[in-house]
This record gives sequence, C-alpha cells and structure tokens, in this order.
Amino acid sequence: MSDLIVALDSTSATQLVNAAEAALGTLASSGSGHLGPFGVNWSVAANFSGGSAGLTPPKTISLNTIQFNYQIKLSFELDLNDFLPHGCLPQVCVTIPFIGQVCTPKICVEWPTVTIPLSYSDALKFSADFNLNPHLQGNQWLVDLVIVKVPDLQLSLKAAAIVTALGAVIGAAISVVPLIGPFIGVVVAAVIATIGLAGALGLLGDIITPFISGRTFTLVKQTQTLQLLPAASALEPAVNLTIAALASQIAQSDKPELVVSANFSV
Amino acid sequence: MNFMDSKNLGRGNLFGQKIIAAGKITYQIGVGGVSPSGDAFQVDVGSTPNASPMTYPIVITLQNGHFQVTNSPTKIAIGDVLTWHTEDKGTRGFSVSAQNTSGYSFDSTAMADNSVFTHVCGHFGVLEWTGTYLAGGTPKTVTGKITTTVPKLSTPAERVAYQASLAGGEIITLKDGIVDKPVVSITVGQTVFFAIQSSIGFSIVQSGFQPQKLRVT
Repeated sequence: MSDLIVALDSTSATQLVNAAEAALGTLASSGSGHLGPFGVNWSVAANFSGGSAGLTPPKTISLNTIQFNYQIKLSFELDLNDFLPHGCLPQVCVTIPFIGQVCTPKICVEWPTVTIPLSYSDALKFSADFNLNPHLQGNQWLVDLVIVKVPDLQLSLKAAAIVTALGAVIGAAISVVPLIGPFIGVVVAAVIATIGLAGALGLLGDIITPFISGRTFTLVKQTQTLQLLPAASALEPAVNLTIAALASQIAQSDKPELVVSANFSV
Repeated sequence: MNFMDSKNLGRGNLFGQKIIAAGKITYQIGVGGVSPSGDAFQVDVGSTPNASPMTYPIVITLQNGHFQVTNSPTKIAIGDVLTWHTEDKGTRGFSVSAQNTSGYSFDSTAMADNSVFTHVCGHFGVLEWTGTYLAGGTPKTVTGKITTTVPKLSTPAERVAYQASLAGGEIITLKDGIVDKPVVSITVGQTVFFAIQSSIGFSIVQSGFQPQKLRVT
C-alpha cells in the first residue's frame, strides 16, 4: 500500500505538461548540412508549447497538437557564375557634335559569389504518444514523459514555405550586384529549382527531427530526502523523510487519471 | 562599378577631352580628386587638324601601386580626341589632368569645354545626380535623374533586342549650366554620356538612388 497517492485528471495532466514544456525552455542547436547541392551552416532555436493530454491506461499519455516553435538561421555561398552566362557589355560609340566620336570599351562581366543568409521562423504542430517513466536520478525522483516514436511531422508544407522565403532572400541578396537586374528572376528560379522541395525537406528533417526524437518532458521532479525536523542537539539529530519508491500509472476509475504514488522511509 | 562620380573614375567610366590647343601636352594619372602623381606622359599636338578628327583610347591600369597607360599616342592633331578608361575592376578612383606650356589645361575632376564623362548604369531604379560647376567664380549646381529599367527577357527576341540596346547610350549635354535632358530613362547596362559643351570646373556625382522594387515570380 502506498504512503501517498496523487491522482490527476486529463485537465490537470495538461497543466503539468504545459508547465514541463515551459520548464524545458528554449533549446538550441547548430550544425552543417546540405540544401540541395549547397553546403550550409545552420543554427536553430526552438521550444515547445501548448497541446492537451489524453490519458490511456496503463502508462500512455497522448499529447495532442503540441506546437514546436522554431527559428532557423542558415547561410550558404552562391557562385553566380554557376547560373549566369559570362557576358560582355559591347562597345558603345556615339558622335558628340562638338567633340567627335567617343567609344567606350567592351566590358566583360565576371559574376561574384554572394552569401545568402536566411532567417526563418515557423511552428509545427504534432501529436504523439508518450510513456510514463518514473526514476531516481541522483537524489531526485523524476516522472518523465518519453516519446514512444517520432510521428509523421508533415514537413512538406513547411519546406515549401522555406523555399518561398529563400526565393525572396536570394533576390534581395543578389540585387546589389551590378548589371544583374535583368537576370535576378533567372537566378532565383534556377537556384530554387536546383535546391528543390526535396533539398529543403531533407535539411528541415535533419534539423527538426532530433528535437522530437527521444523527446522527454519532466512532469514531476522531487528531491528524494525531505527534512521533517532539524537537528535539535548532538543527541537529537535531524529527522528526514526519504521517498523510497515512486511509481506512476494511468488508472481508470470513473475517468482515466494520472496516478503518482510514493512510499516513504524515515 | 557602380557608384557614379566623375572625380573618381573606374571600370564603367570614361573621360574624354577634345584637344583644342597645339603644342606639347603633359598629362598625369592620379588618385581621384588628389593632385596627380607618378609618371607624366607627353603628347605632341600638331597645329593642322585632320580632315576627320581621330579618337585615341588610352587604357589605364594600376600596377604595383603605379598607374600605367597603354595605347597613349605620342603625336596627334589639333581637334583630335583623347579618352581615358580602365578595363580592370581593380583600378578605381583615378583622374586625369593635363597642361601644356602655353597655359592650356584640362582636368577630369573639373571638366570644362569639349569634355565627356561616361557611366554604365548597372543597377535598376532611379539615380539622382548633382552637377557642380563654376559661374563667375561661384559654385552652382544642376541636378538630374536617370531611371534605369529592367528589360523583359522572356523570349529570344526580347533577349536579342536587349543585347542590341546595350550598344546604344543616352547623351546628356551641359552648356553654361543648362542640362538639355535632366530626366532620362535607359535600360540597365546602357551607358550615359555627359557631354560638356561649355562649362568651368564641372563634376557630377550620384546624390541619391531609389532601387526599383523586386518582383520575383
């Protein structure tokens, strides 16, 4: 028989989950990868929010429509010579009545390499099953929710949105290159086609999946040993209460409840 | 390329001067707006004009910190035209000044009669320019606008037409403080020729630029 039992319905469990998401705070990661044929360096800041908890005995909590908020920053180098023909402005000759013939030289254009920076924020909603995992870590009892498996994240639309944003960023970044005016649309279309939805999807999956795979939310964190009475003298030491065991399950009574039970020792 | 400043010439610019005095001219290439330095180059100007005036394009490069010239003629006739330009994008911010022993002189940073400054317009939008000159010893200004548009390149015919248009330019003439075309419209990549018919100490600088909004489809 447990010394202490706490039962929470799905509403209270949802509040616990939301608090656990807030406690997790902003997660950050960085790395390098590929956006189609382009090598990119990226960094991401992300957090979880929202969602509701559904309770399924014996130990599954379904988190529905959790929102994963992320901001991705990436940059890559774009060598315009790979997309534009090498061309020359022809010689221009005019006759100025009071001077005579004046001819400008032919000017051949070498296109530069331009750094393309992208900062993109979005949110992804997903639902997944989590199992309860009570365990002792050091001197802390934890009741964790551990994701059972990564759900289908439906990233295609998000990847398409990134590709659209990239088009605008590329156009703006290359617009400062002299003489590129007539070719901006050509370059943007060619680069986007080169990257493709698959390229954006691949990179997005590589960045986002690690945040969700193996995801854990800590619902309960409790110090194992609690001091009931301080030491009164050398002959009367402190009286401590130790949580000897902590268990959790989803129990079904008139409605499913998250039940956390503890056994103490003195 | 591509900020417009007649005092600092680079690739995409040209300064030209019709020579109207005979004798030995000495010219130097210097850093824009600063007293010229380095080697001096001489051109003998004969007193008999050619039936058809000749134009001599002099090419400037920067080598080991010194301006070098190629194609510089040693003898020309009165009425012929000398032009200076660079084909090297690393050669920027140069100017040309010259004088002869009879007091005839010219300077690309302070253009006078029968000179020309050219500029290739490489960005699309509206370029505002200010010209400064001397009138009775007093500095005065004139202003103008160059609208640079993006051509349509959707069809082969449009691309051919655009390429052909690059061989043309717009001539803006300045005479005694009057600009004949203060507002012009060209296609990106075309050249504007500022031809100074009569003026003293004329220089032109880009005073503003409003880029055209992009529409990427």
